[in-house]
Amino acid sequence: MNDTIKVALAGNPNVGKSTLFNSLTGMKQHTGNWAGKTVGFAEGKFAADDYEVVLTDLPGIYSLNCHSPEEEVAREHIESGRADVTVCVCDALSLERNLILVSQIREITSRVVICVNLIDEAEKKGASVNGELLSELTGCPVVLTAARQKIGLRELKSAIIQMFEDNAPAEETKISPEIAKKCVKFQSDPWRRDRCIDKVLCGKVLAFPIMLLLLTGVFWLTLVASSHLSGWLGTGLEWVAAVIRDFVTPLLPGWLSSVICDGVIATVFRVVTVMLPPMAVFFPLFTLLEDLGYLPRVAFNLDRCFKCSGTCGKQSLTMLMGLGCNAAGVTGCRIIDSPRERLVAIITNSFMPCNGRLPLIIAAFGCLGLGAAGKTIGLLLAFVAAVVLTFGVSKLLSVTVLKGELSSFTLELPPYRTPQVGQVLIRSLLDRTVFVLGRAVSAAAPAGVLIWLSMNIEISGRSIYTHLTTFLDPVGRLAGMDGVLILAFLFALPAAELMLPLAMAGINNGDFLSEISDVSGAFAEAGWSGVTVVCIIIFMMFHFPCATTLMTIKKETGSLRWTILSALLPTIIGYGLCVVVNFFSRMFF
Amino acid sequence: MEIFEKKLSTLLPGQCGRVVNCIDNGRNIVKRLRDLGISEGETVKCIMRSPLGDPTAYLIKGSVIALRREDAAVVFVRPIGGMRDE
Repeated sequence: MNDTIKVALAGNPNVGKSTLFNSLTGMKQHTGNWAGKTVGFAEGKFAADDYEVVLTDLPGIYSLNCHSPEEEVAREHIESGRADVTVCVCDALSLERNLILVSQIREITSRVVICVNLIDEAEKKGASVNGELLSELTGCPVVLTAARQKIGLRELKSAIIQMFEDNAPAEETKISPEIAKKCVKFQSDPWRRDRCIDKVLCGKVLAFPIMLLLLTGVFWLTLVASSHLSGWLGTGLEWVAAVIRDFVTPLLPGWLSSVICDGVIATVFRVVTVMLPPMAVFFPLFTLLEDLGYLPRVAFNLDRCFKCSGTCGKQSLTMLMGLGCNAAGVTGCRIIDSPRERLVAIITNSFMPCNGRLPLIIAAFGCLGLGAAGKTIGLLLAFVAAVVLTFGVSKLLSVTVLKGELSSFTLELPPYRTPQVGQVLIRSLLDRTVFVLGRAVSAAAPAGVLIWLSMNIEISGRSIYTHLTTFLDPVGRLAGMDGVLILAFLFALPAAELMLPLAMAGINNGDFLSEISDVSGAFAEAGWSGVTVVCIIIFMMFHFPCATTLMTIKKETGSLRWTILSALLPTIIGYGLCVVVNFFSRMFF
Repeated sequence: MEIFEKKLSTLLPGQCGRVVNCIDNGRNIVKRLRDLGISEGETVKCIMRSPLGDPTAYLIKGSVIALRREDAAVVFVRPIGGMRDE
């Protein structure tokens, strides 16, 4: 029936390829205002006229010279002829630079459509693009688009189809990037506003205070807003749990309804109550900063510190991604070109507390009887400790097992863009909600069953759970914790967010349903002191990454050795810190 | 007229320079810089230094690219225009 056209989207990083991809396919690839956001391939389809168009979003690259894995992948994709038509996406404001890549692609294939994107931004900044002249000088069809406003998409689709139908080989033209000067006319300095903002955000005086202030603001808002949300959600879910229990109990045999209510539902709901609110606040805030173009400025400001610890400034970007999810952070390390520096970034990524752990750390700070301000300061301290340790361990790695010379470093500082607030809020909220719920069900449910079983199956008069906690107790005691907690950490290997809910199940000894949301109440019941809570926080920050992250590390490094090192290093450091804290607290209190 | 060349890394914020040549320091940086648009005859403007003094941001072909000192040192430029020190 319909013919299929295979189209590849190629272009420099951060020219809006993913936004264009989303606008064309109606998909929801995550986009951000920094170079290297798309690391893998994304594929989507749309229908145009009688064709089905399969669109591949290639990672952003500066050239086809194969400096990095992305460039190799993109080159291979274009060369192999897997694409019938290649759309070269360009940024109107840096067309000349973009044309370097276009000319390289044009040497491989003649079936190229040039798409000058971000035309709205260019116009706002007083630049006008002459598409006809550009088309004449390059010998390629040229379409002007503004993907965010969905302008020029229809023209782009018909240009793709025309290129596909047109079998005549295009005449050979060597594209010289200089022609951009003729095609784009500037009325004023288009970067004046950006330079003014940069002077503040990257200025000697204000750069670091602003960074700290933004971070504090994000943490504070997360804490305050999420504590309200958490309360409502907890009450709501307790009610739902009670309804389900009433419904299930008469229908099923006692043990099965107990597995479902006490095991599965209680664990899942507990994870959702603790996890969802902080994520629902933190993620949109973080995405706003990302959309704005602030993250590369952080990398710019901090690069010197990374250089001192023998690594690459882009590591700060992967660390920030790690704040969201360590597995994503590890994958994101592909933006670092040098293999040695990439390994350092991968191994140290789990030192950043991910969103699975952040809510638990917040909850634990709550147990210390701190208010919103105290919690914010606590979180900041924890964050600074994480960053300092990352630097320290990176340095350690680059003078020992990962010795080597510093590689070259190039970082693009993109223009600031007004974030699409509404879309960001909805997207990150919905995406995260679905993700958290999905993960809660897929990881928390089996863990809930497992812990229910271990508590209810008895060997020589005591449950397996008791055997395990008794066995682990000395290990925990040495580090200021106890067997229940250590076991909870181990059980939470599939997903770190399970740790506190599992520990609470342990304290209540299987009485899962009592007060789903009351973490501090449960802690008081267990008789845990302030020192224990501090040790929990420390070990929560620094211990083995979750199973997903470990598998990602294995995939990215291709080596079991580095994977084991990535698990051992934070565990040893975290455990060591706990032992020290415990030792000193005993000496002084 | 005196013609003098200096390293890109020695340009001060606000100064412009025309690229004369790039000398590879064995770190494979020249090709990378060429991909970013630093080639002979190109005008490069030094925009700002990082608050810690390194790296430095340069305006190259309409984009702002940050380079560390030792990477910018492989590029030789001839300063042009006023020697404004912003």
